[in-house]
Amino acid sequence: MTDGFQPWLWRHRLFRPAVLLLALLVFLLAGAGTEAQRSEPAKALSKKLMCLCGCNQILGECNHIGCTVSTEMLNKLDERVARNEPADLILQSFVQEYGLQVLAEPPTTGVSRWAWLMPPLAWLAGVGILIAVLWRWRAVRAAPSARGPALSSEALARARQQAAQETETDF
Amino acid sequence: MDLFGSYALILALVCAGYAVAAGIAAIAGRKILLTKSAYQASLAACVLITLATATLVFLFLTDNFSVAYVANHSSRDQHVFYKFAALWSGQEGSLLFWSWLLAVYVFFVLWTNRNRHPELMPYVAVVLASVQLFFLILNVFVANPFQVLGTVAADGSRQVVAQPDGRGLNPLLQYPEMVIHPPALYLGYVGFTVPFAFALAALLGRYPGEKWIHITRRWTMIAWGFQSLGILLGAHWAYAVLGWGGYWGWDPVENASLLPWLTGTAFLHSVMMQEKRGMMKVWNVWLVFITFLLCILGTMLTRSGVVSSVHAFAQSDVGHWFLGFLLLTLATCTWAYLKNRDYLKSENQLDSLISRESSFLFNNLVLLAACFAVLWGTLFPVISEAVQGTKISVGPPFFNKVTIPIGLFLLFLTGVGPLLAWRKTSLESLRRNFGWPLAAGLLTGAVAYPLGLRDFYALVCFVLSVFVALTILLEFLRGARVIRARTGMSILRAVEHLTMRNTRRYGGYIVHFGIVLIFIGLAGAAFNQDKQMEMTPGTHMELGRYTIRLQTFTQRPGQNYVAERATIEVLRDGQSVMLLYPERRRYHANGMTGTMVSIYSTLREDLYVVYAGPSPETGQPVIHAYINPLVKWIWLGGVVLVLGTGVALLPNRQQALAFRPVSERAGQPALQPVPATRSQDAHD
Repeated sequence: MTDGFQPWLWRHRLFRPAVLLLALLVFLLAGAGTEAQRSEPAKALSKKLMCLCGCNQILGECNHIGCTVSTEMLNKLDERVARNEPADLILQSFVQEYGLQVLAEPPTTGVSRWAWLMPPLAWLAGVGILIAVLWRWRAVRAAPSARGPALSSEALARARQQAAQETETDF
Repeated sequence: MDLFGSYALILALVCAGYAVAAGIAAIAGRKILLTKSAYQASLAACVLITLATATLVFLFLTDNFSVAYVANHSSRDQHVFYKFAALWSGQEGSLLFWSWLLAVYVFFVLWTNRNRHPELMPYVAVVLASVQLFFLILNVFVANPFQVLGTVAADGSRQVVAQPDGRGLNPLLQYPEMVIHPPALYLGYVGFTVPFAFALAALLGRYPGEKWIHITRRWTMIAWGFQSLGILLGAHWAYAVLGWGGYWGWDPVENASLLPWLTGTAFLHSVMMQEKRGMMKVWNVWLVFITFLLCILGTMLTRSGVVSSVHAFAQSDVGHWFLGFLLLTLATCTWAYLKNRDYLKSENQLDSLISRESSFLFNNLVLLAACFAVLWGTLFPVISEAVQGTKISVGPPFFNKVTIPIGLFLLFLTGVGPLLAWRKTSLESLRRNFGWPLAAGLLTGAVAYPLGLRDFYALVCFVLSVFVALTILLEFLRGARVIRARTGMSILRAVEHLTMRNTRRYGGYIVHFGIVLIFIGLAGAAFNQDKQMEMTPGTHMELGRYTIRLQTFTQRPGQNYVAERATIEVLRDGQSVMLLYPERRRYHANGMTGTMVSIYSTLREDLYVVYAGPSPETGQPVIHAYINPLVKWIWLGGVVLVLGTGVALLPNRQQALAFRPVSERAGQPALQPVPATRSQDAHD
């Protein structure tokens, strides 16, 4: 090979920048792997849906590689998010397609609203019962006399022992 | 050998049946000899169940694949460790294991109380034998682990057929923790039978006073400690094996284990009100009843297929039996209560709203509210389907929304409750006990918020954690300073002395401290990050402050599997810090696959890497990495919690000298102090 001979391509002014760009691309692709991340809106929505493969997991957390159910559902989700459909509409379309059980939490309408109502109602009922019990206990408590009878030393010792037992010995 | 096991179970069933019948007849006729006979029958049943269990273990260890249960849950190349663990890996074996653990409890209860509480123990023995009888009925008639594989010959005779090899244990169960987790959890579930038996027996026999509570305190704590350990080990197993990056998925089976733990915790607190003040007798009896019923309900949920769960055993008829037992037990408890409720009248009333008593009431309310919320969420899909014919899901978002506020309130009470005085707490006492911790907690919040900690619940959790941890620490320090002033010993020695002088109280504080650590760890979940990528050797991904570089991707043979293993270099701030080896194993016996997660764990965060398998589209390995902050605090808190339970179970080193009487200071004769002896325990 002589110094004077070079293929025409090598002599092209864009050749070197093209090679450099190609090398950079190869390096970047090789160095960064293929990211399988979905967009933030899709990610957020995937946490509001359940995978229906039977794993009982959130759609975005189903970790069965090759799980056809979650793959299909996630692809549909990605497509709808890419079309800029509103989140409510996307969730509604999933409910129409898979039924209410696709939602990760019960809706706040119909019978399902009782899922949300019952825990606070039970809590309120508990507080009500507690207040009633406390009120009753305080009401029936005998008023302490201002000046009681003189105590014997044995009675005083017993009282101290009882006080110790009730206040000190345990947790 | 399978026949030996079957006969042992049948004989145990006969013995347990006799123990129930003879025990009831002995109580009705007040016949001491018949009572002893019933005891002996119960003990014999325990021995026979032990023989049956040992037989099944032997069948596993000798690869006897003519037995269906062995063939379905073991294989020749399975490690001996997992052949042993296969005992409780399926429906039939786990029910036998349950019976055996119950037998161990029954044996110890009857043996340790053989010459004590003659009026109470006959009732206790009958209740325990009845529970044992139910499980033996399941073992013999419903889920017999000794069924053999066979064919029917032309002449109608049955021939046993031994398979050359078994199907092997489920890969998810081939993990060291799975050898410890189920026994620990079962010891918790089964252990609550003991306080239940004593509570029902005391009610049936109108046994006087708080004696049944004193007797069962340790048994309850043992059951509670094992339940806690089992739940934490289960969470760690889910974290390390299932590969979804979390430790608690609010799965129905996980919830089922939490329910009796919550009511058991409530009981452990409210029982003190009965011991100290003779209050809440009805409440305590029902708490024990409910705890036992929830154990049975949890078992039913796990085994019946009523709710769908990845953890559940195969669907079977066993659920109907559990439902029947549940209703029968509830009816018996209700009948016993209605018959003898007069005996459960409170002796004292509440003196002040700001007192230890009222804090226990709130504690119980919160725990019961949490229990109801979890139970309601778990059962709601079934209720919804029954009411409107539509199946709905109740997933983690629901449970998180409902239970996190309740949990935070509980954390607050954990700090406040123990430092309130019995009967009445003065404002000065409130200021002294809570002033500094409250200021430190608020300061934590004030510093953390500008630093970027904006998640509301996480922020509240950190504030409360600092508050509670400091109240506990100051309580130890106050007591230790007094001892140091009196004895001159070092502060650490004084803390040890203080703890051992009242193990129940200070063991309880240690448990509370463990709970604080667990809450800190749980709060970290608000800041989780994750990333999933298809990678080839030499490629890398960035996650948080880590660079994760896939070095090699190889195949590695194991004893009964072949593993696809990724070697991953972890760089932090450009420096190589660790090599991780996540695997995906394929087991020879059944062709099933399982993941082995690799975790780089620090107190700050876990870098959790999963080799999730080859991509279906490209065939390239898929690596899923998570940054889970503060997870290690959960396991650390679990260790502290178990340690605290252990301390609380120890006998007190010395009786505490409660106070020095005024008369002594005035130069008058003093009251005799309690001698410093190594006592068993004030309550035993």
